[in-house]
This record gives sequence, C-alpha cells and structure tokens, in this order.
Amino acid sequence: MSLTGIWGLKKIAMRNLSRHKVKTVLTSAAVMVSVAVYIFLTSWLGGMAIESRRNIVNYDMSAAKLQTALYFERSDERPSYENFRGWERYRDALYGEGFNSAPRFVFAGMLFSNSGSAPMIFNAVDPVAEARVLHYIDYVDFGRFPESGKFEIAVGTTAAEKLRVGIPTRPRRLELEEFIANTAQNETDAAFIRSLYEPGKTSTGFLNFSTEREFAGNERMILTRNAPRADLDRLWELIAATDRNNVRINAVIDIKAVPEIIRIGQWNGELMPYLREEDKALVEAAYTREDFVGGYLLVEEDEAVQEKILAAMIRAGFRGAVRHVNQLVDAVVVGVINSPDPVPNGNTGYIPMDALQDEAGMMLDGAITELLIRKKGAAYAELPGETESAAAITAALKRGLGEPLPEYLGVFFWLEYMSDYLGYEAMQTGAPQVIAFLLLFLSFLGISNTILLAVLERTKEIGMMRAMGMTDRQMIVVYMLEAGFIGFIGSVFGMILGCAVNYPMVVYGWDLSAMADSLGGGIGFRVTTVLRSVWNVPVIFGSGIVATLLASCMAYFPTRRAVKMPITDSLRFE
Amino acid sequence: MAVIKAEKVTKDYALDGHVVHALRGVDLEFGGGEFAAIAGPSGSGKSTFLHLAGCLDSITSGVMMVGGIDAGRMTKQQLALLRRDKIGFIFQAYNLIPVLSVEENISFPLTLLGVDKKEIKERTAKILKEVGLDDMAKRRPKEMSGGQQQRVAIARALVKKPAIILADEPTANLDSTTGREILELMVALNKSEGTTFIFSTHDTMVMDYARRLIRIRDGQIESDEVKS
Repeated sequence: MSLTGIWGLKKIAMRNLSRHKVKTVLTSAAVMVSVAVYIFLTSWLGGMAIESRRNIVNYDMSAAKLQTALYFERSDERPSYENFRGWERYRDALYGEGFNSAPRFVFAGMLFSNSGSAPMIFNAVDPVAEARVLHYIDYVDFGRFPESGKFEIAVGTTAAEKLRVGIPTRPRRLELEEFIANTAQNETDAAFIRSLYEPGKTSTGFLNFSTEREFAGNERMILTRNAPRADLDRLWELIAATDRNNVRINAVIDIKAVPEIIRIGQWNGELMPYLREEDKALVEAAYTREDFVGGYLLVEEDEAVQEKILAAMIRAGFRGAVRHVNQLVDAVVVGVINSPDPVPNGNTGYIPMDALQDEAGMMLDGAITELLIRKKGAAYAELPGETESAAAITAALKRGLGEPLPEYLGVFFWLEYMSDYLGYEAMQTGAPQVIAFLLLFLSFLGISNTILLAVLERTKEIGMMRAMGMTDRQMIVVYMLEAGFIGFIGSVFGMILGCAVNYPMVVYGWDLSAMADSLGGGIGFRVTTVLRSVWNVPVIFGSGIVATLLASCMAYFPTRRAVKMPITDSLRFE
Repeated sequence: MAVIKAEKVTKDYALDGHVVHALRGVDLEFGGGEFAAIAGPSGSGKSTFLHLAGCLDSITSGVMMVGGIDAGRMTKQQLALLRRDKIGFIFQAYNLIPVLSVEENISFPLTLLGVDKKEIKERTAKILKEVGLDDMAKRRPKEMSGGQQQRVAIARALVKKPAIILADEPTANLDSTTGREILELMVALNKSEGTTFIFSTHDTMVMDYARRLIRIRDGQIESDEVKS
C-alpha cells in the first residue's frame, strides 16, 4: 500500500482516540506535562548556562589570559612564582591590534580585620585597565573601588560579612546595637542607622532548617533593600571614621628575581650546565665567588642587565631565580563588591597593583601573573568567539610585537581555563534534563500501556481487519498513527504550556539573590542575581516532534505482538 | 474454473497436549456463482473449512486452491493480499468497526484496496441502496439493530466485488424474520453479482435457501447434495 493509502487509514486511528476519551485525554496530558517540563527546564538551564558563561567572561576571566604556560598548567595552585615582567609591551601590542588588556598579580593569603580573619584570593590590579576589561567594578554595592597608589582594598560580600567590615547587611539585633555604639557619633546618627534596618521574617514553616535558637536580641535584622544610595553613602562615611574597615593582608609570594647569592652546588649543578653558551659570560660577569659564604654573590647593579640575567636563568629552568616575599600590608576596605558573578563576591580582594610594588607592599617589582585580554568595544552579552580565540590573540601579539611570544608565555582562551566549570555545568544541566527525559519516558510508557490495552480490547476487531486483507504492516501503522496522534496532541499543548510558563522567566526572570545569599553566595551556577531563561526554538519544536515520533514508536511492540496472534484465534477472542 | 478447490485437506490442532483432527482428508470444489451451505453439528469442522478456504489459517496437509492459487505456498503477506482482493467475510457477530459510521465501515475494504475517493463514494452509495440502508449511512453500528448491522456486514463484504463470500453462521444472532430477510438479500445479490456464497451453518433456514448443501461430521464430508 502506498503512503497515500496508509494515510487513508488515519481516519480509523483518529476515531479510535474517541473510544476512551478520558484515557486519551489523560495520556495526552502526561505527554503535555512532560514536554512542557522539558521545554521549561531546558530553557531555564540554558539561561543559567549562558548567564554563567557571560558572568565568567565579564566578571572573572575576560576572553583570554596571557600567562606562563606553567601557571596555566598549575593554575589550581595559583603559583605566584610563575610571574613575568615586561608585560607593558604585550599590552601596547594588543592595544594596537584592537584589544584591551589588564595586568594582574594574583596571590593567596589571609585578611585580618578587627573582628576576624578569612583566607582570601588577592588580585593586585590596575583599576583603570581592569574597568576596560571586566565589569565587576560597576557592582561596588557600598563604598567605591580602590584608587591607584593607595593601600585600599575592595572585598566581596562574603568576605565582608565574615570579616565584619563595611555595612552589615543581616546583623543580629545585638550585633546591630554594638555596631551602632561603635559607629554613631551621636543619637541622630544612631537613629539614622536604626532607620536603615528592619526585622527579618522568621520562618516557622517546615522548610525552616535553621538550628539557631531565637532569643531576645538574637533576631535577624535586614538592611532595607531599597535604602537610598545617599543614605548608604552617609553610613559608609560614618563607618570610615571608625577603624571597622581597617584590615591587614598577610601573604607569602614568590617573585621571579635574580638571586643575591647562589650556592656553589646550585651554580655548578643546576645553573651553569643549562645556560646557553651566549648567556654564560653574562651570568659569570654578574657574580663573584666568595668562599666565605660558600657561593656566588651578585655584583651587577644595572637593572637592565639584571633583567637579561633573569631571562637567561628562566630559559635555563633555574629554580633558584625566585625571591620569597612574606609581607604584612595594612589597608582599608573602601568598597564591597556584589556582582552577578559569585567569584568577585566571595573571599576575593582587589588592591591597586601600583601600591604593592616596593617594600611597603608585596615587592612585586613590576611582575604580574596574568594579563587579561578582551576585544575593544566587546558587547556585554557577547561571548568571545573566533576573533578572541587564543590563536587570534597570539597572531595579533605576533603582529604587534613583530616577533613571536617567548616560549614560556602562552595565550589561554577562557574556555580552556574553565574546563572544570564547564564539566560541572554539563553535569548540572544534564541531571535535570535526565529527570525531564525520564518524565517523558514515563509518559511514553503510559502511551504504550494505553495501546497495549487498546490492542487487547480490540483483538477481535484486529482479527476481522486482518481477515479483510489488512496486512500486518498496515495494522502496525494504524496503531502507530493512533499513538502518534496522542503524542501530537500532548506535544502541541505541551509546547504551548512550556512557552507560557517560560515567558515570564524569559521576560522577568527569577531573582535568586536571596537564595544565593543564604547558600553563601552561589547556587552552583555562576549566577547570583536575576536568572532569565532563554528561548530555545530548536528544543521547543524538537521536543514536540521527538515526543510525537517516540509516542508513535511506543505502539510498535504491542501491535506487533497482536498481529502475531493467528487470525482465527483473534476472531474467537472474547 | 473452481473458485475454491480442496484436495485431501487435513487440519490438526494441538489442544491441551492432544492432537485434534479437525478435518480429515476433505475434497471439495466450489464453482463461480454457487450458493452453498456447509452444515454440521458443533465441532464437526465446518468453520475450520471456512477459515482454511478464506486463507485465515494454514492447512496441515493436502492442497487448498483459492482463485486458482495454491494458498499453502503463499507467504503471510501474499495471503493478506489474496483475502483483500478475492474474499469477503461475513461473521456471526457482524464485527463492524464501532468508531466508524455505516458508510465508513462499508468503504473500509476499498480503502485497503487503494480505490480513489470518488469511486469509493459511488460504490458505497450503490451497495447501501442495494442492502436498503441508504438512509442510515451516517449512523454508527451501535445505533442499529442486529439485522441492520448484518446488512452492513454483507455490504462491506460485497462492496469490493470479491470472487467468494464466506459467511460464518450469518443468521445465528438474528431472529427468524430478520434471518430470512438477510438470506433473501444474499440470494438476490448472488444472482445479481454472481458472487459465490459459502455458509457454515446449523440453521435449517439457511440450509433451505442453499442450492448446494454439504454435510460434514467429525472432519469428513458426509454428503454433498446439489438441489434441483
């Protein structure tokens, strides 16, 4: 029978749907819910993933980083010794080729306040360059971003809360009173501060997992969400007049530097055999052997020559070309960052790089660990593509420099850097999709069951149709059409329902900030504020089509089983 | 040429571990335009013969020629097409498709044959008139009496103009008046269309109407009488 002939059987398939209307409606409803849930979840997770990726690029990573290859390999350890100097020429070369860049020296350490301490990741940054590449500076909730040349620091909201610096956002009543006592200079100030807070809601529902006991003075107070900016600035000024925001950085870093002294064993065993022939004379001329210290002392004072010596030692892979710096640096918290990305909001600090260059700071001496790179004029919503790939930026650097990058440096695309996160993201988005798919599968089992019962109920009728010359194939097609119609009806309504539920999520989104706060700044994805779903047209139509086809396929096995029964048995079936 | 020719046909069933010999070497031949009844008590083998003649079941031994074709050598698919093209069935319980209207039930075999819509409409209308149901075309089977449903079943069997119509106890579910009406209708159609009718029955009225009466007992032909 031709396709037209088969299609002629659709009348029977469609009429069969009306035999048990309730069963048809319920089965279609199951498909509808499954398709709607799948569309909603996929759009939601897609929105999460896209927003997370935008946040990573806009608030943390930029498009790519110029780093030493070894730093990239060991980036989890944040190996501060894998730093490099002379980055200004790369910045200039990139600028000429249409890229902005921002230098950073990233190091780990502790931050102490008057009320506590926290392990931190410190980013020594150039505030002006940083603002050209990343957007978190626009999200300084309270205060301002540090200014160049000053010992100032901006910290994330998580760190601020832990260290009790800046404006308290969720203090207990007694803590608030203590804060007021320490901050207010008179009763007017005290009344002003109190006016900025309101009692938090106490959850008494079954979802209240708090183990904190409520007692007088322990009530949670919340900083009014819509407090005017002018009031917050005034409160910040009151705080700034106290020592609440004074902090101390304690960190140990390793800087690549020409060593003052090289032991004889190191000189003979680790340095000289690995130096290039043309570098040996340079190094030998810069050091003099002093047997009373058991090594070679640096006598060369010219900084330019020292740079060349350091480059030669790095080329030779000499591990002794490192200076350990253990510093305590006093600073003032001038701002608290609350961006859409959890990383800047966490235990993260941003300090002006130029303040840390000498002995008063971290003795960075011009070294950086990374140069963040982004195309000039890159749109906020634009994810880096081919024009900002590692290969494109490397080629741009080569053109700008007039020579290739040194071997020890490399450009690493943000996706390479975020491979761990992307794996996590895949897991995060995959698990709910599997659940949605299982839901879809269950509804298909429902269809299969419906067809199985229909086939059983219509055994005699099937026998009659076969007796009249209907082939097994035609019989299977009729039942597949019937199941397909159930799937189609469910799919169409599922697509409509899925889009209807999705619409407010796309247009208005869901404010996750409260949940993110309660979970310590993150919900797994790199999103902390309003989450918006995205329209995914291929998924909307694809899920409808796939659900219809799968529903149709679910009729195959029950019908195939039915047509294997001898016709005479079918006709006798009661 | 014989439309159905059975030579030494046997049919054995396995039932509860025992072999039941439903037909034991049956030789029968039906020509075109016959109006024949196969009569016998329950379990005599009359329905089994009808099923074998209608290619609904396979023979154990012997030869069953249907429309000049050896049914025993055909595949499942070929048998389905043979039934579609050559054979019409009328069942005791009518076996109409409940979700289709009268005209849709009747046109169903034509849909299987791939006849175009216009011709389906014309042929359905004609046969509806012949069986006296032209005013009930849009009704559903459950809205009709048993006799009317059997008329629909007859129309459905005839609409494709088959060479043979096999009717298994067509009057068993009908009262005698309705049964007579149905038989009158089949006699008329047999005459007008020249279609071979073969009944299995133990209804004496059917036997009276039949021009050839074959009696069967214990799977063997007891008598084969052609009435004058």
